Amino acid sequence: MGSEGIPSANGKTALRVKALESVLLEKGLIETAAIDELIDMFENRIGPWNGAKVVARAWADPDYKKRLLDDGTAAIAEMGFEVIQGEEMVVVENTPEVHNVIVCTLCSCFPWAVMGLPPVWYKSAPYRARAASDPRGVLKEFGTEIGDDVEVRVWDSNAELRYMVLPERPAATDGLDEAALARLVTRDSMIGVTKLAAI
Amino acid sequence: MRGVHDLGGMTGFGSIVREENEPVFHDEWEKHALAVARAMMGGGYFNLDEFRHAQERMEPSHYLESSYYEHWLEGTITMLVEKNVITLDEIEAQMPDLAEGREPAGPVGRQGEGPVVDLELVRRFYKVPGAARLELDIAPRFEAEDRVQARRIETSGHTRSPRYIAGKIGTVERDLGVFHFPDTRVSGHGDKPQHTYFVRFEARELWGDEAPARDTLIIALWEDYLDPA
Repeated sequence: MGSEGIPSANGKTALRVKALESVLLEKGLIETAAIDELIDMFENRIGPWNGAKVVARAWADPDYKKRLLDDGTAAIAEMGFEVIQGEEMVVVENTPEVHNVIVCTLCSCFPWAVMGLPPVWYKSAPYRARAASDPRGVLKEFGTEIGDDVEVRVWDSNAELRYMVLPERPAATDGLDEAALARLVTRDSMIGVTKLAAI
Repeated sequence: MRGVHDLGGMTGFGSIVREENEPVFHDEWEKHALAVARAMMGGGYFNLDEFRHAQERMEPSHYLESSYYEHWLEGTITMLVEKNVITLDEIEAQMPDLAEGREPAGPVGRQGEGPVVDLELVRRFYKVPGAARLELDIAPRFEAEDRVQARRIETSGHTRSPRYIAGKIGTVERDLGVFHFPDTRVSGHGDKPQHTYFVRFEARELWGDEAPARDTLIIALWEDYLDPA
């Protein structure tokens, strides 16, 4: 509520959501348990920790990495995550020659299954407008400089495929096991707006 | 003829604003807006393409000024009203009581034709890998390394061909298989399953000679978006 007891814009939206849900509940078209289940999944079961496990396994296991790059959907399915918004996965590898970055210019498609719900900046007009046309400028805003000898390759998520970047493994991580490697992986590195620093 | 949602290549929106340690949701209502939308889509009350189009039909300044979850809310309400599942009056009628603090009531009687979106239904619909692809034996029109030109799609309806590729020439990278065609799924002309391809465009073809020579963009394009070049 605003200071005068008048609902704020956010308060009105909140009320509208509640009213929509209430109408559907009263009509018997939806059950509270279904809504709670989805919210639990959004908050607790999908997130970048899933993608980080995929990346760590690919770094540690060359056979898995090959399967992951050949058929991202099947290789990620091996991990047993929920597959909402990860039904068709394409994993693209960053190398010294190619730096990949992901955007959805038409809406905000994102690989929920492996990265969770997208951050606000990914859904914002500045990112959606410029990631396609000026990816190097966008990357600079994230503190990421890509050399002129490297190809920047943008993936626009317009169709029902979802993308995940396999970041380059940081230097000096040879002795780490998969769990330790997974802790190094950030969501932004899997979108391709950052690189992982050496530890 | 394109909606304001078709943002690729537009200028003037300023720098990208990031939030440190951003929470998954900023408000309780966001969770419910997303869950209700996903639940009703899972129940088959509308499809994802129709839902995207409902968001795209928001008034342009409202679209740009409102958040992602408001887009989801508006898209869901538009869809459910247009599919005769609810009315705007029914929503309005709930508001005063809810504003006074009443919690949503339970079912007062089964109304409507569609399935009940219950726990079992929502658990089922996000457990299927590969669900977007169609196992149909249709001959592809293009193959890897073919040169193609993106058609200039002029529509007030829905399309997933962004305007920045219109008329541009690229190279087929690979055939992704067969998918439903979003444009006709929304316009009421059926699923029109067809091959979809990764098409690679040089940044200079899309954005002019100032773009870095090495840079590229890859986008998945349905056959109906492409002509041989």
